[in-house]
Amino acid sequence: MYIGPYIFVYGRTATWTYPRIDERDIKAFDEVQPHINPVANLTKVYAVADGSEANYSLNTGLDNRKFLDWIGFPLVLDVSNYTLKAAGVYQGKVIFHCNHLEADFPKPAPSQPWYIYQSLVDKYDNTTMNVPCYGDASLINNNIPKALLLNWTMSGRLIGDRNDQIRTWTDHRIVEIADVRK
Amino acid sequence: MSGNNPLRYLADKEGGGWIGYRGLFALIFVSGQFALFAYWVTYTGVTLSAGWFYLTLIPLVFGLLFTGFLPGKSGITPRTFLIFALWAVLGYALYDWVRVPFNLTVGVPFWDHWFDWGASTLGSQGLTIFNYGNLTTGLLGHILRGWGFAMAYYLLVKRVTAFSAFTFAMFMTVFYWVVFPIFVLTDALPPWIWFFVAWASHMGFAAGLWLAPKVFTSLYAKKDQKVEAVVTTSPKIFKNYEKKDQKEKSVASTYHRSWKTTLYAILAVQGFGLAIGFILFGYIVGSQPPSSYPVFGYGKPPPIVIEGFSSYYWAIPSVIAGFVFSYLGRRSHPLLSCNSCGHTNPTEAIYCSHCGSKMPSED
Repeated sequence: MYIGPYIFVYGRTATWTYPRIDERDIKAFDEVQPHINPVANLTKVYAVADGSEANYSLNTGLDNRKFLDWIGFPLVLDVSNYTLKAAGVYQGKVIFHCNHLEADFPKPAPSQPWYIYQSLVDKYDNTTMNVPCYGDASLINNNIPKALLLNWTMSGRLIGDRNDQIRTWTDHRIVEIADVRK
Repeated sequence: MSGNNPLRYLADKEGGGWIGYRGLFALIFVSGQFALFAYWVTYTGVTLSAGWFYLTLIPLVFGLLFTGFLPGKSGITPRTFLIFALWAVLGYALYDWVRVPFNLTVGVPFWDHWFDWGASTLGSQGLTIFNYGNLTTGLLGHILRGWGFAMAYYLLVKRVTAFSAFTFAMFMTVFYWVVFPIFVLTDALPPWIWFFVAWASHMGFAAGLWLAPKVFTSLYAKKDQKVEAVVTTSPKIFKNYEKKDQKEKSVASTYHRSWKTTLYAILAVQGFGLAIGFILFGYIVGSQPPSSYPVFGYGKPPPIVIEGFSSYYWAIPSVIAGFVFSYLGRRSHPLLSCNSCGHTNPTEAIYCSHCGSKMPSED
């Protein structure tokens, strides 16, 4: 009589809560998608000691972080140690390369009022950032290629309610270069 | 002061009233709730471990020492505490039993916060708060608080009655309705079923508070048939427990309330309490944009969702019901119990209808 509800709680935790959390965590891990903007911005060209260097900006990150937890409550996946390594190649030459580490992705704090929290969950569902990339400016002095092949590798530690997983994506795609220098 | 003056119980030197031993002991037993309250209103800024230390452990130690300054005698013995402790467990067990079928049918979990509480108490640092260590710690804190409230009830009331038990539980329900959606479920919009489960479980708690003395007294009576069913918590009567132990004659209270009066009074309190609930529900639902997420339940909206319940207007019939049942309660007559045979009679009776003895006056 006295301990019945608590036996129920432990039983339900083992047979309902934990499996449900695990199932939703794994589903959330699977649904996360890498994000690479198809346009890289050329932001700056400047002289250095032995030549000149060009700065680029590439918008990248992860999409679909939002998921529902075991009671149907909306959360965003924690992401830590996010890394992006990329190289923009044109006619066999590396025009720029990117090597970025983001320690933690932003996420809403759990003590905001519902109407603020909900909008933050939606805001952080797709989290992207402008990653700085660098290249030898002499390669684009005469002609800035309109498009190049971006070989990239992205990884991050995804942390759900009860599980974590390191996911890595590797791919290549055609990226345009937009000269946004003023 | 006359013997029937209710104010006497507040500062009863012999029995240690509310302003005295009973009030102090009650505060000590509910101090676990103070810890949780600090954790809630600071939006988890004050950890539960700090709350337990500063608002439970230290008040407990100094509260016990402070009893040395109180005048008179408490009349509360270690045996009294033991009896109350056993009674108090039943109320809390029923409280959680009521929530079990709601989890199975509509999916409202009642242990989701136990993980948070356990992690905050233990200061768990790790990947997840969802482990059995945190669950167990949160569970023990949950029991300690609920059991402490039941202890406080038995310490504060002069006599265990259905009316006082349900009134106490209704107070707890309203407290829960106010605090949880505002300070705890800040990032979720509790549906109607959540408010209903909170009310239903506290009513189970009230039933446990009321039934426990009867259940335990009847169990005790099986071993010693001379003991009568006594459901009072007055220290004066507890001297009778000691007398019973010494095989002396017990003295029973002569006051009885008719079941109609009790029922009407309970319904009146429910009416006023539900009015507060409807106003709160209307405020909370109306003050925030609709949620696009089906929080609680099996990932879908709970089956019992009545849109109209978010209206303030539901408070009006509840208040009317409260007044109507208050009026009916006042109109119904209390009963008096015969000093000789214990049989209950109407207040206007001069002689007992059962044994013919002269009835005590109401004064």
